[in-house]
Amino acid sequence: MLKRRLVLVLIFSAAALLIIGARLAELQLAEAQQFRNQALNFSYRHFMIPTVRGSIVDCKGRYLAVEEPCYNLAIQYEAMNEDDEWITQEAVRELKAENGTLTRKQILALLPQKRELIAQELDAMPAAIAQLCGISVESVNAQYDVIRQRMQLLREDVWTIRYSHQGPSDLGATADDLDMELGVAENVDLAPMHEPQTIVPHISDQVALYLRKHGGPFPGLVVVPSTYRVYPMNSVAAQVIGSVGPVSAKIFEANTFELPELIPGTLTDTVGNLKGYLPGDLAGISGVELAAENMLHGVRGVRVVNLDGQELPADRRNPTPGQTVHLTIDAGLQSDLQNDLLNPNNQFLTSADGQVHNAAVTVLSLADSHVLLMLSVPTYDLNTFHDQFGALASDNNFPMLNRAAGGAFPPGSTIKPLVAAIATTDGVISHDTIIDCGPYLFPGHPDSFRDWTYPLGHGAIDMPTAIEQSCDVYFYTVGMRLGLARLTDGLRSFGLGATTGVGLPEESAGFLPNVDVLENNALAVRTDPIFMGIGQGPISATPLQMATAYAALLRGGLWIAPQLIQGLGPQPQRQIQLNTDELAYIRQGMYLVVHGSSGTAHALQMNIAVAGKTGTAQTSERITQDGKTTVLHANDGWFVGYVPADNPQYVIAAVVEMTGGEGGSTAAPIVRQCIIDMEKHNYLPQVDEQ
Amino acid sequence: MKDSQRSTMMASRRPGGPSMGQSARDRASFTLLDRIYRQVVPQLIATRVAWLMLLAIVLLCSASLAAVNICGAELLEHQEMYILVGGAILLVALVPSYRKIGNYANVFYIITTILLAGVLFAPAVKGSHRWFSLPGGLEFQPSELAKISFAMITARYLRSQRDIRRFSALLFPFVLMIIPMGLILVESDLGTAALFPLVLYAMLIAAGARLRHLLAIALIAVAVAPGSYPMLKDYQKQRVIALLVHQQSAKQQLTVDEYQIQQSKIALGSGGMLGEGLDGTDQIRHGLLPEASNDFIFSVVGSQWGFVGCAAIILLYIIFFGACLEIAVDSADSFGRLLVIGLATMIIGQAIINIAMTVGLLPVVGITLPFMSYGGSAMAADMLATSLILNVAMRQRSGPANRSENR
Repeated sequence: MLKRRLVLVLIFSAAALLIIGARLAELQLAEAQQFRNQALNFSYRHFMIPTVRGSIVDCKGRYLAVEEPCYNLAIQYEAMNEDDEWITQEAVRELKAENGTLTRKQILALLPQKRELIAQELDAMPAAIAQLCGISVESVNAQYDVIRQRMQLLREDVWTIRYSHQGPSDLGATADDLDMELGVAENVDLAPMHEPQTIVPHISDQVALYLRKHGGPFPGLVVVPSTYRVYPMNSVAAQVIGSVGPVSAKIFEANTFELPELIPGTLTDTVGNLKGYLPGDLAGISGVELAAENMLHGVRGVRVVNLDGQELPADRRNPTPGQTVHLTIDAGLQSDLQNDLLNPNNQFLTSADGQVHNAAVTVLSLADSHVLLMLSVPTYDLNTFHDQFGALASDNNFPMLNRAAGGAFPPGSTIKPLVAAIATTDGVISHDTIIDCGPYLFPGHPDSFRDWTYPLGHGAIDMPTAIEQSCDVYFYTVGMRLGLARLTDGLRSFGLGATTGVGLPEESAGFLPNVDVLENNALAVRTDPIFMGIGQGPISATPLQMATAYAALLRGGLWIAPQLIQGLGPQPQRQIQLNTDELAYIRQGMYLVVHGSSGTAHALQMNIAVAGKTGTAQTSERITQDGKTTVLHANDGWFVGYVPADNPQYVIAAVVEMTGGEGGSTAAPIVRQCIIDMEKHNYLPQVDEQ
Repeated sequence: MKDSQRSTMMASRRPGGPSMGQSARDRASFTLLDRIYRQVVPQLIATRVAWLMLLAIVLLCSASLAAVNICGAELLEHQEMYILVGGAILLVALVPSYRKIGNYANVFYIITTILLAGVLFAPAVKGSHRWFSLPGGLEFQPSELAKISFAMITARYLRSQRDIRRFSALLFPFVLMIIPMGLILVESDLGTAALFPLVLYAMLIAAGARLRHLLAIALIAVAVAPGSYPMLKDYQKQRVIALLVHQQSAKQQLTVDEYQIQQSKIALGSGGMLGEGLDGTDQIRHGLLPEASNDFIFSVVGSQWGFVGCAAIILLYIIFFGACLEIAVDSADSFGRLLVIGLATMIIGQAIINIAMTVGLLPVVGITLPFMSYGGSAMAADMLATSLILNVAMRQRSGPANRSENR
């Protein structure tokens, strides 16, 4: 009886153990390889090898932006918080380093004293760092706090994620402790909590060397090799080059770095997107740095280390540094012109009261549509950009704005040669169409559509003369004859109202009216083309757009997208349908602007023949300063022209923002200076003074 | 033959003995070692089945030390000490006869029940109210003792129960079980609580209760069990879910329990047929398996010695259990017999639940692997239980020669 009963108990146990045995066989015999792979995956770690961001150079190979090696001063996170366990480890390490023959007991005996010493050194650390790096103790303490706060945020995030996955008890907390836990996330231990944290970036080599030699009194302090971005030409083309900063959400999401699934020996097949970004990576945030991010951003390397610290050489991937980005601009030329423009003693280049203009200049080569120069003043020093960001952002002169590509201005009379080309192609006028130009457009309405010479007028003139004298009534009439739709389409074909495709993220498309929207607005349909005929009204363009349009005009209608960054992609081109017979007369008009007896840009009569068109657009601007808003009425002065006049090689567009003067007196001298500098840099044939 | 006769003689002499004089009482304190040396050891040596059990325990403890060593060298010294203390407890508890100890079953039961109630008011350790913190960083878990005292009092009750085949006679043992088991459930120690019905059932089966009665009670319990799901704590529900969904959620973010089971399976699976050897796998050495030295020590063994090692460990538990059943069969005294069956079931049940948990067949419940898991309380309790079993074996009134008469 008893035995039978015990057999029953035995059967139950045996059955349970048999099931377990079967399960074990499944795990350890059938699926062993799968679990071995998983185990390997858990036993190895990826370590990223940082890559170096590419340089930016100008067309002559001058460095505009380059990574320089430097040392960062970092502190072990545990040391920063005077972690008890870490102090003990450090004390043991130091004792062993001082005397390798110490026995365990001797070390234990010396330990309390050593711990005390290290704790004292850690207490004095902020002051020591401040003294070493020549900064204030407060700033070191502030950096401590920043690091602690960042870590706490990280821990809370991780805690919240973990908590959302399971109940509190598995985190070592009962429900009672929960509220407290939420605040401090005490049990969350993260890898960065055992890594050095940067306290002072870019310390001097002397300090780095000193710390390497005399590390003793600074437990937990580490000198970390790093790089920082240097802009050797400081403020030259600052807005074009742009800056780097923490990777933006947009780029990050599009190109996140993902760790590859790791089984040693198979990294080649499964290597993840090493070009992707990790949080905290730097990326371009503006200008060429952003536009050419794909080329500049290198490919990080990866090494695979098992948890014992041994590296697997077969699975190492070395980093690929970022490519060097070549710009088409000549930084030497630009530097010279910038210095000329910023020099308050240049009386022709500054306003009457000696103020430096807010101005933009761009030079486009006619042959290949390369941007030789893209200048915007005022400018700023890229090396101190991040420190001065607040002041720059609140400056009413907008030094961070790249006016040459990102500033849209009413083009004023510089539009007239383009309107003439459209009108002659359309057949509404030809070069010998005579229009009688009084002081205003409509007889009996002297208060609207005045000529700029009001109350004089120009008399009966043909098209080249109208360009020479910048006759408004002539082009009011032409605009009226063309009508809104045809004029807008024509201007659009010249590339206005759309970005040129130069690739800069800040580029503006300017403005042209949407004809479909205005269809039912009779007044707009009637008056807008009249205003647009002289580059006023609902129209604006950037200097780059105007230069590109003029270049297309000079090429007989071949529009080529300007190029700034070499190798970023092909330059789109298209043929604008123009009446090429009439182009010579337009160029004649532009020649007369500079050289004619009643031309508007006599300032440009110089050793080399220049042609072009002035523009003076009446505009107004709201300025808010110290809480008060004032409306300022002034002129945007333009000159768009080309040299040499008989055999055009370069198109130059310049705009001077918000002055009392006219294009001929504000922008033309800048173009003159630009041509002088170009001659100096051998871009134009040397011609003796005539 | 001679040995068994001598042991019987000694056993019969000890409890009653020639009336203890005053001088004998005085000497009692320092003759403890003497008595272990003169009585316990020879009796133990004379008991063949004890050799088998002690061999199993020694092997299990050695495997434990090898496994604990790779989980953390600092744990090794402690575990060595726990094993030595456990061995001492084993020897000392052999000195008084199990019958004499059994006389105090009521007292033990009441004391352990009070301790179980008291621990609920003690400060929480690792988020649970299961441990008393003792001075010197030691921790004591009363549920370990409660298991033993429960087996003892139940054996005591069933011994005197003539008509156990009546359904009503089963009521009292279940009441005895519900009290400590309920308190342990309040401590939310599901694993230990689950042992109580196992132990009770084994003892009732051995005592001769009607199987149909036991089956009926079991069916009722199974029917009621799903209703208790809402009463589980959140993390316990998670564990059930972890077990059920683990296969599907390989790529998603794992909860702690899923992670634990996954790591455990990886440790076992990567051991393969023969294992990675004494050093185990990288995974264990780098501490990626949570509670490796504790509840999941079987996975460590799996990574060290592979399928062969795991099978050997299971075999050792079977040998241990088989030896216990042999002792029970040989014992003429029904208290001793039931006590042995209860305690043996407790140990084998714990082993089965723990191993089933590490291979992912049962949800993660905090339960230790007897003689192997790192920890003092558990080791002491396992050794004490073994001691009681050996106590019965040593003091069998019948030798192997007249076994047949007792069947």
